[in-house]
Amino acid sequence: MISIQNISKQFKGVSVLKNVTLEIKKGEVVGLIGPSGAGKSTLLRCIVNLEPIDEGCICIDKKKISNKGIQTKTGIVFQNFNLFPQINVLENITLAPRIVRGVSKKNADQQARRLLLKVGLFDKATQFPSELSGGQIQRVAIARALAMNPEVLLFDEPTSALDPELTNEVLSVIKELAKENMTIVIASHEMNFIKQIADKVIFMEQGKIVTSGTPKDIFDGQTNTRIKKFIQLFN
Amino acid sequence: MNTLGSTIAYLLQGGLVTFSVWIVTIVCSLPLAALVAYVRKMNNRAVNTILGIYTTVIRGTPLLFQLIFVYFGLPIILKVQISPFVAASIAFVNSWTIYMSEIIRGSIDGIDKGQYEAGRVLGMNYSQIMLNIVFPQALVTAIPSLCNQAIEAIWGTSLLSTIGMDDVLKSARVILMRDFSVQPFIIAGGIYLLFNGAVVLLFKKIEERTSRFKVQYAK
Repeated sequence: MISIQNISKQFKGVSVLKNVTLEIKKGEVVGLIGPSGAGKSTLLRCIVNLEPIDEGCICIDKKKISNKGIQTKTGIVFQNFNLFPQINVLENITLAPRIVRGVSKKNADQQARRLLLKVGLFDKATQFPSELSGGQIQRVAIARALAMNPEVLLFDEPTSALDPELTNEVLSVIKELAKENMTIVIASHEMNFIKQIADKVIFMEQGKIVTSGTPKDIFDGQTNTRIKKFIQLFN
Repeated sequence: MNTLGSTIAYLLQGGLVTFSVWIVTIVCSLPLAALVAYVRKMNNRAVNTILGIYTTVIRGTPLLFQLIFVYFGLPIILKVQISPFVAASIAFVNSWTIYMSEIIRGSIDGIDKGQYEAGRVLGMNYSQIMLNIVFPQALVTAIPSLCNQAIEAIWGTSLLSTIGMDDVLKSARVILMRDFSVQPFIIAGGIYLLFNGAVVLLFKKIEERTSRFKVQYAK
């Protein structure tokens, strides 16, 4: 479904992605792990076209994504949420469907309420982001991304900015989506969670994919001492 | 004999002149300023250079200079007669558009990059992002500074007499000259203060109404 071929990306002469090749199948859950600065976020940002790539190509459904075009087949949930603070929860979710897709207010509201129910925040529709907890904010952000009916949902360290107590409510929503066969790529330091939900785990370091495999391969049968050490840090 | 009542009535007439120039200034400048800020954010080099120079000229010359230039100079250049009220409106709206556009531009710069990115990944184009996400937030952050500008616009109206308009201050001076009493000045001062107070109150109310989304992720 997403085919990433030999992509490279530099920021002011510093290589952050080096020749990365990756295939993501429909319905697959891909976990991206690796130390900070490995290029996980950059890879995700390239897939949603927030960053232009320098070399290689990214195809979604066999269609090459251009550097200018807007990508709505992919949705992304950010580490620091980025909800719109000036409008309430419901409006946060309906804004894009209404102004980008021209969905009527009634239909957009209906869909938004369905999504809020899904993320367990049905009663928060008229609250403002400033009135919610971090975990609730992130769940609204997930609902907002889903409102555009993306075929792939990317998560860029969705729980890194949250208290440990609030992490679970976000992870359980992601787990629910994975169960529904949503195609997901998630960069995270929550190793246990990745181990549970991922079909494929990718370990990145210094802009390269070092290894990839099933969670079992990566977490249990690991022979590479560097990766072993890294995983142990989180257990 | 002049009673206190007729003095007040006369000064309030002046107050109406002051108020009408002020309201025209605020009502016209605010949307124009937003427009100028928007255009400058499009980063067209030629347009920005021209607007940059124009901003320097407007901010770098006194309001009195501009007022006199518009009233006495513009008719010579354009070969048309303009009334003092029109001249004052042009000069004030022009200046306040520039002042306020700089404030709004500053607040736009203060909006987190993540807000633009969130809009982009949801498929919005640049103008949709600006209109629906960035501007509403920038205007709210700008409220206190815009309030200051609105107050300075009141002070600015005290220059209106130089182009022959009878504003509050001029009216007070007329009565002072005639009656040789400071009473009209005290009343004029009271009118200014009330006017100011109303403006501050108005902006406070607007600020309160937006307080629910002003604090970003405070928890």
